[in-house]
This record gives sequence, C-alpha cells and structure tokens, in this order.
Amino acid sequence: MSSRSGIVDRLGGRTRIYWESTGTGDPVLLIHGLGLSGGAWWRTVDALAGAMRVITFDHRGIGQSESLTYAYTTEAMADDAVSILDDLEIDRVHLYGFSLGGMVAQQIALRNPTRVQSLVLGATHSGGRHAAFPESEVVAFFRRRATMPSEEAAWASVPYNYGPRSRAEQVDRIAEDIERRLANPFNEQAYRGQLLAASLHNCYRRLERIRTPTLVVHGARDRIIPAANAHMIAERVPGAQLKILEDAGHLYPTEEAAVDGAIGEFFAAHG
Amino acid sequence: MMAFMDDALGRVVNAAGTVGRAALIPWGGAEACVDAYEMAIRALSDAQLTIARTVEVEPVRAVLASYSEMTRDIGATHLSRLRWLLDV
Repeated sequence: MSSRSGIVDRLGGRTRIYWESTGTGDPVLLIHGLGLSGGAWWRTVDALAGAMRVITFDHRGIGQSESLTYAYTTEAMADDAVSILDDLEIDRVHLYGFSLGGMVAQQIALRNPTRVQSLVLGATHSGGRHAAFPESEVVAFFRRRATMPSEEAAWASVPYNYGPRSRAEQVDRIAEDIERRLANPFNEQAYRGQLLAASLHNCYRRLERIRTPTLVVHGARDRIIPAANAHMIAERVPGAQLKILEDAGHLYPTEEAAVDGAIGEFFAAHG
Repeated sequence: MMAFMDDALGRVVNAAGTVGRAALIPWGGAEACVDAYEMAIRALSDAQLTIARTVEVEPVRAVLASYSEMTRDIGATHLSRLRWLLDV
C-alpha cells in the first residue's frame, strides 16, 4: 500500500501542517480530536486505505505541526486542513471529523462547500448555546487533565472516553490506544487552545446551509459530548443520516470495530 | 463554553449577545454582518498570498506569506468569538 508524508508551508510562512497519505482511490481527509495527532486514526486508516486514499494530519501545535499565531479556533483549523488539500491539488474530498475534528469538518463544509464530496461527523457537537453539555464532573476532569502527567492523564481519561462494555471487555484495545497516544509528546498549550476552540465553536444556526451528504455517528454512552448533540445535528443538516451506537462511549472507533466499514460504505455510496 | 461559565457570567454574555444582535439590525442583521466580515477576511488573506506568490525574493516572500497567515488567524479568532457571542 502506497504511503507518503509531507509538510504544508505556504510559501515559507510559519504555519506548517504535517500530513500523511495512505492508499489510492477517492481521497478522504480524517480530522482527529482534542490533543491527539493524526496517528490516532491508525485503526481507521487500516480500514479505509484498501479502497481509498486516506489523508491524516496533525493539527497546529500538535505532533509535527506548528503555527505562526496561537489562533486555536475551529475556523483556523479548518483553513489548515484546506491548505493540505491545496498543497496536494485535491479539488474534492470525503471528510470525516471526529469530536473536535467534527467541529472543524463542519467549518470546512460551510466555508468550502464545493470541496466536500460527503461528510461524516463523529461524536461531535454544533456548539454555541444550543449544544448539550456534559456533566460538571466531566468538565472539571478535562480542565484538570491538562496539568496531569501524560500517562496518568491517559489512564484517568478511560472512564470518560469509553463506554462500560468496552471498559469491561476491550481492555487490550484501550491499552493499544493509550500506547499510541503516549508515543506522541503532549503539548499542554495546544491542548488548552484546542479546548477553548471546542468551547467557542458555533455552527448551530448555519448547519442548515450544509448541502453535502452527511452521516452523523455517535455513541449513546458518550459522557464527553452527549448523544443529544448528534440528534440535534442530524435534525439541522438537511437529509443527514444518523447512526447511534448503543453500547459505545466517546471513542466509538475503538469500541465498535465495524463502524469504520459502515463509514467506508457511506463514502462509496457518495463517490 | 456555557458549560465552563457560572450562571451570572452566562447571563451577562447572553445579554451582550442580545444587545449586539439588536445593534446590527440596521446593517442587515448580525448573521449577514459576520458572514460579510468572514468573506472580507478570507479575500484579504488570499490577496496577500497572491502578492507573496509574485515576489521571488526571500525573505520578502516568506514575510508576505506570514502576513497572509496572520490576517487569516486573527480573522478566524474574531469570527469564532463573534459567532459565539452573537449566536450566528
């Protein structure tokens, strides 16, 4: 399977975005969530790259990417993602955003509608005052998490990231996730910036402008971004499909191995 | 963000948003104003990048490209705050 990587730097500017591309076929851009590098998509890359060209990247301030300013907003992160498409000379792409990445994907679909072939919004919210908020205990944990040592933080996050079934039956898969996550250095400043970006995100009223075929995926047991947000998004995006995974928590790609296949089928249906 | 605020601050922010939306009604409403600002910022950033492409001398070219990035990022920061505050 062909694989390559690179860094987008627009004419020698200071914002540099690292990307990786695996496989051939219709391109799909994967946009990951809070504090993670593009490498966090390893399971999904394996699942999709047999039939598609799968592109992942590191958000600004994470992994090998950096930016000129500390502008952590979903708008700026969307521009970063689009700069990769420009650099790779890709006109249209399937888009799959997870959690914070789903917020960035909403911005791309709204700001660059002609470039999005289809859209998958995973475990995300539309933002603003209308979003369904997590319990105060969850909010307090994620504030505290930024100051915790990486390994302790990764394990302490497990009750928030995964549903009860997964915590009981899929310990090996959870451990694999954490091992991969710890392989990348944690940038506290970028984490805090991304947390602010997620908090200030607001696409709620504009979702009805999206005309791209859209699939909304969410774990019913998600404690970080409650599943009510998925219902809200699916109601507001015209024609959106909704897939609720009854036993899954926030990190459903780990908990529901079959979901990547279903998402691949959605992309194929809208190729 | 509301989840990170106490009730009193939330009420202040909501009131500020209501005042802001009312103030922008004469200019077509808050949504139209913020959309126009977004288009203007993106056009300006693209124009700066286009100018940078025409310059072949370094580091002038890189500096011009950085201006484009700065315009884009500052604009994105304004937009994020405005869209959240005004709820548009």
